[in-house]
Amino acid sequence: MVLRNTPIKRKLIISMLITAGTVLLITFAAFLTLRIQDFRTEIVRDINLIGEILAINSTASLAFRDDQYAQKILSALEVESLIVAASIYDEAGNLFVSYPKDSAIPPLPPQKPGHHFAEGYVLVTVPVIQDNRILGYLNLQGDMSFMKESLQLYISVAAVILGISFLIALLLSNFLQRGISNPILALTSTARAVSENNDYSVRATRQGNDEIGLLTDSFNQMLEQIDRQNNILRESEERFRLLVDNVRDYEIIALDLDGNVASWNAGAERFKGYSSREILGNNFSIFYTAEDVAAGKPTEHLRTATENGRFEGTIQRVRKDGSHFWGNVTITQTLTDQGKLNGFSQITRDITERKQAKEQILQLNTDLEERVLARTAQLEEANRQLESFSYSVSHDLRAPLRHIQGFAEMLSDEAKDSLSDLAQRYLKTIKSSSVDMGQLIDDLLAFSRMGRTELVMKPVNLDDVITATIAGLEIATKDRDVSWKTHPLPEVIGDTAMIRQVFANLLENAVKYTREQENTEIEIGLAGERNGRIILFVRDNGAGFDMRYAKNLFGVFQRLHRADEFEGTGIGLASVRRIITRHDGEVWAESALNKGATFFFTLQPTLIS
Amino acid sequence: MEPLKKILLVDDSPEDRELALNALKSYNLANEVVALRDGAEALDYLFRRGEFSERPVGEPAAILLDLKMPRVDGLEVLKEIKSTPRLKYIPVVVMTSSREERDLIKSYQLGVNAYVVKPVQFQEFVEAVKNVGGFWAVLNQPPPSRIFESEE
Repeated sequence: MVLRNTPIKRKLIISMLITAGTVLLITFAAFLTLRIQDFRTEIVRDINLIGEILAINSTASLAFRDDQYAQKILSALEVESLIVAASIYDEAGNLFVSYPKDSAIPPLPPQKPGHHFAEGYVLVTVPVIQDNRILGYLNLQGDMSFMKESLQLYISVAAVILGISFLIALLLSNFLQRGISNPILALTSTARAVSENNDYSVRATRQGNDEIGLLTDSFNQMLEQIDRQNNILRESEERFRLLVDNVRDYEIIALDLDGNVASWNAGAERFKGYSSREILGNNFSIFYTAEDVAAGKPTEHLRTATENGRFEGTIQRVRKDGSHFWGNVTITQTLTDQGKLNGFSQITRDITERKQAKEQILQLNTDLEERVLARTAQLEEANRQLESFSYSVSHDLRAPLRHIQGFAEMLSDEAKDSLSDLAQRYLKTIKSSSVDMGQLIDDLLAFSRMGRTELVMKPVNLDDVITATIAGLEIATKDRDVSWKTHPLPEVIGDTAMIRQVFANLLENAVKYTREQENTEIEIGLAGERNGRIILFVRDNGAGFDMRYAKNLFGVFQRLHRADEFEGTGIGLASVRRIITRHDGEVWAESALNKGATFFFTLQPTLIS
Repeated sequence: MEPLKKILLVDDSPEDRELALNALKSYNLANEVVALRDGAEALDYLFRRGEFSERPVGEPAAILLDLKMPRVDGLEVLKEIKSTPRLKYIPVVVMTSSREERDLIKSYQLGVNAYVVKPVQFQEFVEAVKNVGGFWAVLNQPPPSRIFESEE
């Protein structure tokens, strides 16, 4: 237990010494035991020998019970200092002789033949045999103390040798342990350097290719990895910090579990007025108004963030100077890798500006709407007035016309008989002129109305429109041979009434200008596509027009024929152009005098083919 | 048979008045046509005021009323007529150049019997006048005078 905490050097030396010591002691003990055994065996053998000799010599005396002779024999033992006592017993177990004669040592009781060690003495019993008959026993007691002395010397020598060996072992182990402990100590010192200085750039030096070398390598690798990860982490933290720090439009701060400010950024400084040095460590409740604090809002919000993961709300914020602003605050919990709550992040947006901006926008919107309404009302009123104006104008213009016509008619009735032919012709001219004027007024009125009416864009079935228009011209064409060539036309998007007007005007024109033809051919069809719109055409084989004057073709009241050639006010084509332009289309014509005319115009089809 | 009743014609345009008279005459209507020049005269006539206080008894069988007149316009006259017990049964035909919805609505709200837009073409104008006059003054049965007695 104590051993466990001792330094490795000592541990190694101690273990080596213990090993060496134990081995030496065991060897020593073994050899000692051997030595003792040898010694004992020697003594026993010696005593046995002496015993045998004496026994042989004592047979006669024992047989003849000559205890004096036996005593003499035993006294020969004086020379042998080893044997301190002896005795002969007869076969009955009675003592015969003992040596020393008057020794204080009690006579040895008869034993079995053999030897027996006891209390520093050895007892050897030799039977006295004569003719294979045991006469008695000879006991010899040897003093083992000789052995002791001998052994002492032996032990001393051994001890010295042991001592020297131990010393050598100490020196050797001290030297040898370095091979293990040095690399370990090097590793240890590196580890200590790393942990003390938090310096993960140091590396342990590899010494040798054994397990410690492997350990060193692994250790170095670990340091490498830690170092690298530390760098990555540091870079990432740095990046994050830069990211957060420099944001000036949002407050991004960190709070600890109790709501104390743990980090601060530029936006927070800008909004709240505190520098990070001033504010770190303070509780975030100082950003709340007094009422909110009294109502326990700070704790409540933290609790919401803890339980639901986040809290979001628009609350009043208090700056360093005490002024208030409205902020949209989000408090989100931050978790450790293991999913444990270890703080909060709080992001605040100053929405005072946004609120103001929103209000401004709403106000502007309202203003705009009001203005639009006012303008629309104005326009509607203007339109209405214009409509009313043109209507009343046309009626006011028509009233005198009616009078002209009426009175001319009445004059003609009244003065029929008294008027000359010339006068009657004059009267006729008056009447027809007023009719013309009426027509002009009507056309102008229609033209202006058509320019102002709102278009109602819907799918228009051209085939139906054309069929209806042709039917409407039945009366005008009933006495003529008009062959209508029509083709199926796609559906278009447009104002139905106006599209009808276009076809009415074009077909009326076609009918009018083919009046002089024997066989009238009027064709209506599809001439292709342009810019995603379809090109329609109306072709007639009538009078045609001179392309040199084509630029006037669609002008208001512009005509390319004299009134005595073909009647008309010159508003039909102007209307057509007005309508097609309002449909975002184009209109143009091709013709040659007396070779007929083709009018082209584009409309938006409902399906893009 | 009751005596032929008068037709009252109210129009501020002398030409239109002359044309209308001519038209009615050519229809050979035996009715007498009283032509008045504006709303004030019409009311004076109907209520037997001013210069018309001595006019003969009896109400017209029909009133052809122009709307756009100075001083007192046609709608005012119509209102007066239709709110006076003695006069309200007299058929009033508005004859005006206005096709405006406003005028139509007001006229019918006031109880006009017919609304004719003066045709711009002379011939059509003549036809319209003849039709209107012919219908109201000849074909239509006017309310018997006894209806007025019960109102008084």
